[in-house]
Amino acid sequence: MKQRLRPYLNLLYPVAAFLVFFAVWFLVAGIIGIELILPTPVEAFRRLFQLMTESEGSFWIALGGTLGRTLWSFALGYGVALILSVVAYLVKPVGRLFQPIVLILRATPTMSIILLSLIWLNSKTAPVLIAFLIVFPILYASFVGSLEGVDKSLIDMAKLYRVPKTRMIAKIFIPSILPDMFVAVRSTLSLNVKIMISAEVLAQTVDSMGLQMQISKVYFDTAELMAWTIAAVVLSYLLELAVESIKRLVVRWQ
Amino acid sequence: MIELKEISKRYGDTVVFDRFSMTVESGKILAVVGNSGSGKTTLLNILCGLIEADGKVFSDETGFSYIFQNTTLVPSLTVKGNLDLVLKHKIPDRVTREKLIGEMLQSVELEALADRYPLTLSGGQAQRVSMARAFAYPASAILMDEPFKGLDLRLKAKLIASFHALWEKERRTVVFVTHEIEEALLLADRIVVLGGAPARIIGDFEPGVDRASRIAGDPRFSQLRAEIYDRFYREN
Repeated sequence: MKQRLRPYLNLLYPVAAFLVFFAVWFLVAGIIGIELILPTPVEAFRRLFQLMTESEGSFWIALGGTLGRTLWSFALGYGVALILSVVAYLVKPVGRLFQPIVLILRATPTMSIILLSLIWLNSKTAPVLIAFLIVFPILYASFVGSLEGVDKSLIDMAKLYRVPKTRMIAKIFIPSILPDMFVAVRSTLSLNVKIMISAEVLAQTVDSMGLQMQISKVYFDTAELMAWTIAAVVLSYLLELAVESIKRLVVRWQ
Repeated sequence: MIELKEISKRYGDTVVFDRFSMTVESGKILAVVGNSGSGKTTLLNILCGLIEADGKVFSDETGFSYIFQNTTLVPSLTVKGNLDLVLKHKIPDRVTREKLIGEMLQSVELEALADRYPLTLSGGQAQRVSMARAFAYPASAILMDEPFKGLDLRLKAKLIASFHALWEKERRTVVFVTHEIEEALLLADRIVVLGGAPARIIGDFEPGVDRASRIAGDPRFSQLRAEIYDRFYREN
């Protein structure tokens, strides 16, 4: 019985959480009673729908721009982190050399990275570099940890049976680190969206969600700001969902 | 034949072996019995070259298979895939390889689980896959590191029977380390007892009784058992 109800129960909790969230939002908006400070969820969603159906399609252009930059900076961070972590794992002195560099990057205040990038680069490339510099050390540390966590006895077994190195990498190393990689990707992708939007706000990037949010703020259009915020949350959620779906396809053995 | 000559090995301040020598006869099952931490696994790893030690190892065996204590199956590969991983570079022809894998899995009664992942197998099933992998691999010697540890008696008996069935088909050189004297008595042609630190051979026995008589409880066998227990507990 419990087993049969499980899918419904799994759905019930998030639905209940959303309902509670929107009820509180509705209640607080009702108490404040000033739409300029906090519009109701109905107003925010109405505004979102309006943005999505605008004839010029500026909503989709901004969303596409932010998504493109997010994916581009993430791919860059992912690729560099993967290559460097493999090098660090294989050549231990290089790993030790990278350690303080990554530590400095992790410890540097996000705002310093954002402001310096804005000085150095233009408004379209600065957000990409910012997101890359923030996401890269997190992914690098995660990948190094995963590589070091590969079961040593499996490596011994493969050596003993004289399994060729390329096959060892394809059949033991990559599958061993994949589950952890997906966890890291899932969490950093959402973070990437947030950082990208912050950077776009400060860089005033054309065709971006960040700029649209900034414009809403300037015109005190709180409902539109909330609409863009909902769009950003949905975007992050969809990205996480996509990663989870790919993980289920790829990591079948778990 | 494998010969260890004056092997010395230390981990930090702990001397595991100091000029240790031993021979392993081809086509026979040698059991090395010793307490936990007596250097049994180190001995196996030195034999197959997984770890280095001072001294000399002579071997005319054509490679080693290894049945590890913790099965060491790759979790992302199916049962069939785990066997294929160690065979592909040795047997490039896919049809021949698949036929061998099928036969091996049949020998350990696991052909129905060929497409299952290791995480879905029981401890006994996983150990039988590890055994099938070792016998499928074209090596003349098999090393076994406490392969029956932690298994219940019924499962242990079944695994020992599976091992024997496979070994009888093609008698390979086997070095089997364990701390269970009973397992050694059931399986081995020769039993070496390790003791002391650094480890040395404190007993070397040849049961000389066929395996069926051992299981049936032949009096000569009972006497040998008493002798080994006596030596083992007196020295350890």
